[in-house]
Amino acid sequence: METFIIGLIAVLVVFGILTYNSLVHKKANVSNAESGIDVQLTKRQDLIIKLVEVAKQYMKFESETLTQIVKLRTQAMQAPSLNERMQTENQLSNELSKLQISFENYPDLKTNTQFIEIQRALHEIEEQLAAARRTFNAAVTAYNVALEAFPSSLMASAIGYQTKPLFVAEEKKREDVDMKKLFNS
Amino acid sequence: MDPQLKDRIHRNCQKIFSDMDLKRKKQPYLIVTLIGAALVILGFKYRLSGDLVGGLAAATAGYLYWLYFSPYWHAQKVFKSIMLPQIVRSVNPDLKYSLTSTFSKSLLSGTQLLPLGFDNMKADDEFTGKIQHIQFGFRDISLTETKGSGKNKRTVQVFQGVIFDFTYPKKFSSHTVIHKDRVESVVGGYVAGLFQDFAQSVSTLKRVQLEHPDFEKQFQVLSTDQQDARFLITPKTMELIMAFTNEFGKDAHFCFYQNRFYIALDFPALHFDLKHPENLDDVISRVEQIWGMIQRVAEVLDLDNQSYKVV
Repeated sequence: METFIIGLIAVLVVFGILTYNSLVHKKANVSNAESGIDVQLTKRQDLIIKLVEVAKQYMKFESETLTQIVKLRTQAMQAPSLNERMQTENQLSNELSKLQISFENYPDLKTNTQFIEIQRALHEIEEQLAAARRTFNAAVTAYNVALEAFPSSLMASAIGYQTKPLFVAEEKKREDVDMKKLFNS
Repeated sequence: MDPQLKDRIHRNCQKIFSDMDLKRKKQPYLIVTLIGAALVILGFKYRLSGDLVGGLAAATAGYLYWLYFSPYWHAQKVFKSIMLPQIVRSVNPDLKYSLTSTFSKSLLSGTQLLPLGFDNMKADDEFTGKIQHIQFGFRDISLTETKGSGKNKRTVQVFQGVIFDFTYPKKFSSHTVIHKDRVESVVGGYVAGLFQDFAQSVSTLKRVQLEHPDFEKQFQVLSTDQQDARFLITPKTMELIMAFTNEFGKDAHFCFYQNRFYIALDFPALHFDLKHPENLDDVISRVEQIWGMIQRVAEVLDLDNQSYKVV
């Protein structure tokens, strides 16, 4: 009987250690994925500044949009949390979309080699950012499932781990694009 | 195909075959048969062991077989190395054919494109060229593995198919493979997960769980970088890969390695042998089919518009 109890305790201890380590790994994966987003956002910030610098030389009539972009960029860099930063980044994306449409009015700018390079890099960063968000959501899902599933939920509540929110696509981005509205604006 | 070129190739093929016939006629069949028979008779007379006499008879038969078929093999080699490249160029001027392949066994092992063990690789009938501005390669691959030991030792073919590679101007940041998920389809998700987790514990490639349920059921994605794997395999890429397997067969494997995208496909051996000069049209139509297939693969996978394509 004594051996059985000792054996049971040993199994429980090993199981507890494995569960704890698994939760720690999953939490670390979330942090890694979060820093992945941060890295891409920082790269995007650097490119936006370069884009504004090049665009300024050609776009005399879009100074308001350019100023707004620089302002949002500064706000995003100073945001205290990733979620707040993402909100500002989304606004920044909207302003950039507006700017992209107005590039059509500046044929000289569109042929500028540096501008073309920045546009390409920006496009790739957007794709990388989308991948980083998907990685983050996958890591958060795995973490949240572990926190809610039995028996790891017992360990999670004991060490005070709490579920994390997923990145959700902006409502505006989910809507269908109204091409008519886009071309009349 | 240009009729003049076809006519010229046809005449050359006739020449190759008449040379072959001439060579066959000159082979010393009679001398070899007589020497072989004499050795076997002497073996019996001096009561040599049955194995040795049998060996002498088999060696004679083998040599006669080689004497008869070696001119044919030589003719095929000449046809494939001189005539076939011209046929291939006539189908598409940018397309090149080579009898041998530069695709090596160590490269295949490095890509981890195929989730199976093998000892030997035979790669030949290689096509290279450009499609949708992308450099590609395509070749016939046969993989074998030696199983058992001692008298039970045998060579088993573990893969017969084709391998495509598409070269991109930029190196991928990760090594990512997409394997047909055999375990999951047989034993179900949870148990498959346990198997895969165990297999990965010794590998540098870690499982990437993607959000597409149908794709996850059919494939297993492994990568050295979770984020880069998702950059390479977007929801659109997943749809395209599923469309590819629906069209070209379920047994397909994909890999992003260094600056190349590889596809391995279970496929019958590519036969470009010309049995007779009158069968030239069959070979031409086979080359056209292969070129059509390469074009369709690029089209189905929309290779030119993928996120990893750096323009």
